[in-house]
Amino acid sequence: MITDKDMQDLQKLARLKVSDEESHHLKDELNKIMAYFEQIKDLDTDGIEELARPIDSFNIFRADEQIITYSQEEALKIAVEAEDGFFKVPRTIDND
Amino acid sequence: MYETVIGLEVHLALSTNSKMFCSCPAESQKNEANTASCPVCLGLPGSLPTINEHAVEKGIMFSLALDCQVPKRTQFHRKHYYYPDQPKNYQISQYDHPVGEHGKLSLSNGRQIGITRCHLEEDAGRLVHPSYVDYSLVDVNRAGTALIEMVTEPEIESSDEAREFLRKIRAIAQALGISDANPEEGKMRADVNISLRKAGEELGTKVEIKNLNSFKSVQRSIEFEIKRQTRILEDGGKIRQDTMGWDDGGQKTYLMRTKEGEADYSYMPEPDLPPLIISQEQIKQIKAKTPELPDSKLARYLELKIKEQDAKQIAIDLHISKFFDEVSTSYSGNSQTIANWLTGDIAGYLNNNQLKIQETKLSPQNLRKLLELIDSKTISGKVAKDILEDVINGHDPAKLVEERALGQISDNSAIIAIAQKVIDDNPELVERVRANPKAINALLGLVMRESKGKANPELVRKTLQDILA
Ligand SMILES: [Zn+2]
Repeated sequence: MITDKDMQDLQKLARLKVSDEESHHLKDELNKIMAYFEQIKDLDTDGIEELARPIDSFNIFRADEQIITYSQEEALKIAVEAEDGFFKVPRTIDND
Repeated sequence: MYETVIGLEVHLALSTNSKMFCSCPAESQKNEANTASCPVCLGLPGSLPTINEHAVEKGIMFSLALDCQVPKRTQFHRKHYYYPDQPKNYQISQYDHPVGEHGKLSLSNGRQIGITRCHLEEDAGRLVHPSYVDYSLVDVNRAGTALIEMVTEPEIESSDEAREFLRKIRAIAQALGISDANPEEGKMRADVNISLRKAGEELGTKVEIKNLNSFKSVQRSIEFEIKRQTRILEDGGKIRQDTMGWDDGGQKTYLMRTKEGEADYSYMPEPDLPPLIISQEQIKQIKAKTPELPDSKLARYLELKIKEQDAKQIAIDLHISKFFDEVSTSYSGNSQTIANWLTGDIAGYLNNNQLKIQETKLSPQNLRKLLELIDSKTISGKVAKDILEDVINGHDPAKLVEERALGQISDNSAIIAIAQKVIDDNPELVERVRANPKAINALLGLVMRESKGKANPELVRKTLQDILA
């Protein structure tokens, strides 16, 4: 069961702020999802190999060659805010 | 007294053309911000990463050089964390099947340091923090470039061992050509885990010092932590499991964050990247391509009877050792002579001028010619040292000797004339030599001075003896 404390931890890890009402709603939804996993947990998986990918392929490489895709201007089109060619973000350190 | 227990994590930037999981240029840190990006390294929805073949090969080569076992199957994982330097909100790294495990590296004191693992991953972007504003700036040029991270067992016992370990890792990486491994350019970064314990007791609580970008700061931060932790323990205190930074200006560690509430990285297999199956054949091919390692060079130099101190100094530097090998193959004289010049006058010149040998115009051919000019007694060792700077600056020593008429005078009549003049001018000295033949060195010195150092000293001695006989 996901608790209110778990919801707080998740918000912290995901750097998301949600209202109490939203949190309540999300908690219910997550608990439903968790209930499905509880059912899966009951299955006997001894001796069955982990399957992380639906397609059974391996050793697909890319040659080590350069391609320039975005100019600075194109890259910064997705920026909420930009300055001097950089993405502008909330300050990540305390000191100057 | 306490024992020090140190483990190191070393990040090396792999020298590749493109990034780890996309084709953006890898070497763009010095370029203008955000000029090397694409949907993959910007983490745009729907984009798919692809694995850089070279990066994997370099990772395997490095792992093998550290005596690691390379698994049959390796795969990538997502390591989740939210920070603006990581546009995808996760870093693609390795978790359960890294590219190398259970390796080792020997130190010069004979101790072996276990290598826990080597894994491939991508680097983060660069954050800039302008002064007196409430925001930070992000440059994604470095985001997604290829790294190999190497983790040791907690088996390093002193700051000196840590420093030697890092020097060896750098030398190996450079010899293999997998990384420039240059801490000053951010191509090699180290984290230190350090704890103290009383002899025979269990491991103490460890403190992590993050993002050390020079060998000196690794050494100094370890020395500082030993003092800090000793003081706490002796006062009956407890060490907290903290993450520290190193303040180079103040020469002290500072608290970055406490481990409480440590992020849960929620590792999961990267569903967008297929696993890699590494065959014995592939390992054989990579081994065949692997350049000679510093330890093997050292053994070869000792075999050539080069003094250990010199051999070590040459073997650890990729460019000096290459230079030595090139001179050595074409020079018929004594190998120690080459070593003497490289570790003596040439090293002195490079050091005084803050240069590396590959940054000068000194060629192996010209050094060989210089040594041969001495061996054939065309010039004296002193003249050779006088013209060394010009030779380092690209001049052909044979031409210099000819242009400046620096060759030793081996012409008998010229030497006889000078010797006769010195004898005529110094009757008292001549008397002393007749009484004590050993005093001939005084006359010899005068002849050498008269010839401006160019006379062949052996010929001068013989000529003086003949005249006085
Ligand atoms: Zn990219």
